[in-house]
Amino acid sequence: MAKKSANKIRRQKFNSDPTAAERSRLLKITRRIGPINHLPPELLVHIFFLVQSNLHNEFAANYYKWTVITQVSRSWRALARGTKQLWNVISHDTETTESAWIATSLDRSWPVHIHVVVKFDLDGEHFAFLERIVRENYRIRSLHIEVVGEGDGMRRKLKILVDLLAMEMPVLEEAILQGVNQYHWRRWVHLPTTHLFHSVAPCLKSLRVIDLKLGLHSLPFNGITSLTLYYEDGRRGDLSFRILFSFLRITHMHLQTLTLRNALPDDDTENDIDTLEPVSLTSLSSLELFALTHHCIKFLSHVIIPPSASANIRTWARSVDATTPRTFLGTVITHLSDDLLEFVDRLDLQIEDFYVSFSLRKQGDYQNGEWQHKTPVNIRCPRRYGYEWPFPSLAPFSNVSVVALTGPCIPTLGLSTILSLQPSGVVCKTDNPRHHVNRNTSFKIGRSRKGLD
Amino acid sequence: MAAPATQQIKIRCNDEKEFTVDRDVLERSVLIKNMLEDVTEQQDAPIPLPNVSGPVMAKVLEYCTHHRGEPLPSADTEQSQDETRKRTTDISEWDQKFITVDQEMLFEIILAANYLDIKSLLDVGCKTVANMIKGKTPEEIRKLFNIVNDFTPEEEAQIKKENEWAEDR
Repeated sequence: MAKKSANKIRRQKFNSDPTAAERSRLLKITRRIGPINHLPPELLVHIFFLVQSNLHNEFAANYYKWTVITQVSRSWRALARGTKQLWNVISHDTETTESAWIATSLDRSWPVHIHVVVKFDLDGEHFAFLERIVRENYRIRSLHIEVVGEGDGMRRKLKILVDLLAMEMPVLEEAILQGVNQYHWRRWVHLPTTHLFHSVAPCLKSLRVIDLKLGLHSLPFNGITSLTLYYEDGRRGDLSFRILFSFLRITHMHLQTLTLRNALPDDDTENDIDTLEPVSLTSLSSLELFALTHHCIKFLSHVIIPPSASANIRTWARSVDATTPRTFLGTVITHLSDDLLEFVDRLDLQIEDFYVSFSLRKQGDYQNGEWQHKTPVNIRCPRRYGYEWPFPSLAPFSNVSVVALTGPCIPTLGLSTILSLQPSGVVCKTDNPRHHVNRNTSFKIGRSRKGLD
Repeated sequence: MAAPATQQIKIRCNDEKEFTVDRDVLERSVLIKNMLEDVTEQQDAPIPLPNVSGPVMAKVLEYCTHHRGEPLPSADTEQSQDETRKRTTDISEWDQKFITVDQEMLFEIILAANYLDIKSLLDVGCKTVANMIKGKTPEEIRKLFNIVNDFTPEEEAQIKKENEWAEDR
């Protein structure tokens, strides 16, 4: 009886409390419409950005797909359209994107900064969109331009690109320029990238140029922290050692990552740097160097790299004649300081018919003055090849491998190069192992067509 | 020599459920870490967490225990929206298994991670939802999350018109 009256009183109280009734009504509704509706707008927006991820690096063929979220409900649509940063990637592929999409993105993102990702097809018909982008120069935060094709009327089309690169871009921080110069009418047409490299982009921090002829331009970026000069195999840049080292002398205090792939000059007799003082790259945390061996030696003997830097060096000797001496390879190691070598955790040596290459990587985190390897050191020495490897220590190399030995080069190249590394496990003998790396260098034989005996 | 015993902290959820947890596990939550730093004297009273229920807290603690000892993201590594977009939505194997729960629990975990300020857990939850959305049509998304289509016919027509060019691709 008492319970009944208590319930009655509670119900009466509930019915007389409009707030409680409203709360209950809302609770019923939200239960019905699903838990995603409980999320506050800022979390939903965070999810929308994650829906865009992975698509970000693709050109527009897929990029627009994230806009499906604007078609789900009125609240999602309002939230997505009201979040200007969701629209600030101006992604364009001439074959698949409507100019209307560019205009929509530019309008909806205004006035926040924009990221421009453009594949510019010189054979394509549509390029008017670029004129629209050029007008937004003051809010371009990053710029990724890839030029393809060699179509008619190229000069007219290129002019728009030239206009863009010559515009002042006060907030530009990152630029990726790929193939932005074209071979046309028997000569290379260079875009005035020099404008971009000089004063129009004072905030530029990261520059990545891919297959781009620099011409006679220098590289005077005062505030740059990351530089990549990348040329596909079979192509090479026109950078001279002197220009590179002029650049390094200016940026040596704050340059953090440096990647030079096929970028060092083949023939640099006019600009020889042998007389120059080495440059100390005090802030460098990552070095990637892909170059012919004697270029590597030249470069490494003129820079001082901090021991905490992560290094990935891939170098090779090249010859049409298998008997050409290739002991250069070991010499590269002798030009690396002991500090830099100490925590290298991988070295691959690859010997093929006319190429010898090795890469050397230093991985992990540098904390409290020491290298912390991210993964446990893994050394394998399969007995099936008949070699036993009594390695005494993991330092400096945790993994040294001969990946392949093929062709006629083994007697003249393989053994002398290998032994120049002074492996701790004696694999084979030679009369003249000249280059000494470290007495604890470990060694592994992976595969050999002819064997090493 | 035995390792020094870790301090045990009591917490109380909104359903009165209490947990006693190692301090380093609880400190995965920036909210609790700051609370503990503000309290100079050791207190026996449990820390009240009015926005988290017992079952959800149990899941959160499972996550924190697994990831104890990992470096916490510092304030200066807070990612901008631009950087969020550049990231992959891949989730590690353990996290993926951990987050395989029903939708109600998934969103409760996201809300709890947001309240407790556990950035990595919030990320796992949001990435899971983002992956659920990717590749689906609006109708499929509505069905999946039980969202009401509240567009008027005029709005629907407008949306269709806006996206006509994309539909052929």
